[in-house]
Amino acid sequence: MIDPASFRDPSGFVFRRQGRLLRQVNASYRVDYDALIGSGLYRKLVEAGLLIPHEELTDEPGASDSAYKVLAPSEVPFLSYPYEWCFGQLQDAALATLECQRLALEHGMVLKDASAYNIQFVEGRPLLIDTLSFERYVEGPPWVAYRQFCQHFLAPLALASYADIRLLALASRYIDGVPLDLASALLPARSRLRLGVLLHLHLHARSQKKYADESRETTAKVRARRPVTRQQLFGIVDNLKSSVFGLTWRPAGTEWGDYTGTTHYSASDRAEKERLVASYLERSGAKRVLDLGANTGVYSRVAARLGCRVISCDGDPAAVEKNYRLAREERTEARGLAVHPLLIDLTNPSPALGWASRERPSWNERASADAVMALALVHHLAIGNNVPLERIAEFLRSLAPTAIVEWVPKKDPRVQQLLAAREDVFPDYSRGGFEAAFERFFEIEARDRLGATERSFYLLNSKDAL
Amino acid sequence: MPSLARLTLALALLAVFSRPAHAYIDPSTGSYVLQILVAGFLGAMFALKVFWHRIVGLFQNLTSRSKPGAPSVPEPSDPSESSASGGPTES
Repeated sequence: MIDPASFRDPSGFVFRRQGRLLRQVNASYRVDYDALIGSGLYRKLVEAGLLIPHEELTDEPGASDSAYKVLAPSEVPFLSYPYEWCFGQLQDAALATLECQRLALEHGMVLKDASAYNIQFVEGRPLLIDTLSFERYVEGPPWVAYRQFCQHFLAPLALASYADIRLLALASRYIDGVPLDLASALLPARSRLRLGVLLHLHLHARSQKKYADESRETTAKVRARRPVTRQQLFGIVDNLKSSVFGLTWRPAGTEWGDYTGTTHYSASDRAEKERLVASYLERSGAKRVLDLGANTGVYSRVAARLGCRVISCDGDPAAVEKNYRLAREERTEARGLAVHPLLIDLTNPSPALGWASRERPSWNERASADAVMALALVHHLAIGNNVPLERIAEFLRSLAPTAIVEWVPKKDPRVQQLLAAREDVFPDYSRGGFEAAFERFFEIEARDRLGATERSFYLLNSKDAL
Repeated sequence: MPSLARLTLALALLAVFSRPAHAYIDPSTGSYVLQILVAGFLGAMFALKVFWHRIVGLFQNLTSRSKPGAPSVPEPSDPSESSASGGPTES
């Protein structure tokens, strides 16, 4: 079955055969594919950890007559999309894309697309997953993927840096990146003081508007008059790199070192919570864990230290950023500690997007695990978003057969804070109500109170193999 | 031989300006034009940067030779620097 997202590029496509993900290289792409391998670029990129490694399958037939080769790319454990990344993830993905382009130019090739969807995070590292993104370099034409790079990477990064971090979500509205005229209109005037933003976004948007209705002949004429040399392409890539690298974001009034998100435990309670979570995870035998409302990923790391692969979701951009920064440090310190932070608003997770709503599956379609953790989360959903407890239980059950849930009672200051300005319309929000709701879908395997607090922890196993 | 010269020129132009065979995305005319306009400037900036890094590198090599044990090549701290020092040497 051909992947629903694999239809734009005529060079080949991705398909599944007996559950195995394969990539067909079409005969029309033969010379470029051979150049990718023959020039040494493939080896260089794989060694640099920038391109997904693959195996050429000699005996595997293609999925259509046009096959030149069939490749078996190495596995990407969890697909995530640009609108689910924090600032640092998008920035690192942009830098990886530019490094691929720079190395390609050094090897007589060029990136023919610069889509953020071609990057996936594997072992905490941004990786180009589209092996067919390269073609032989011909001197003269400008970089064909320049517009796409600016729309997919530079525009959202500049908007997040200069205007508002929440504008990263624009990526989910615009599948081919943020339109540059929109970015230019939303950016404050002071953003023009940065050379890269001025050239690649503001002037770029103006140029696009000016030449919007020009014919093919005009393009050819402009190109013929002033060819772009390879050295100049290096210059463009280098300036894009500095521009991306120079953009920063930090939450108002905080330094990253001090940012702790929202933790409300004494040191001893926190140690006890870590111990409880670890013992529940060990009992469950989970290998793949979804941590919902993960904050900066403290308990994701408890799971990771037990050898679990963790998808660590939170809706707060600052918490996810901190989590990613930690994950990036761990990536260099200890390989194998696998925490994958994602920016997800659980009250409105990413929908299915793209052509026929099938190109980019929703978060719910992708999220599945052996165990789901919901620590200090239920009150946010039940009171902050009025979701009935039973629906929360059903939702967690849809994600994993095991759930580790923290119960925060109504009299807890955090819950009282949520109720501060509103009427308490939650008569069922009680320990009894919580257990009754969850017992519709789960058996309670273990239940522990946290130290002297009123908070409790539950290890829940599904009643049925769904 | 004017016709042969013209043919050679036409072939050369075709080779230089032909659209890459697999460019399947729309590069957008305005984006092409902007790149052409800024290419000279950014290319020159890049050349200066590479030149500057070479001077600095040469200087560091000279000083490190007088101080045995000192690293001869500085670790790049920012990716734009690494690209400048690792840029094309032959072009």
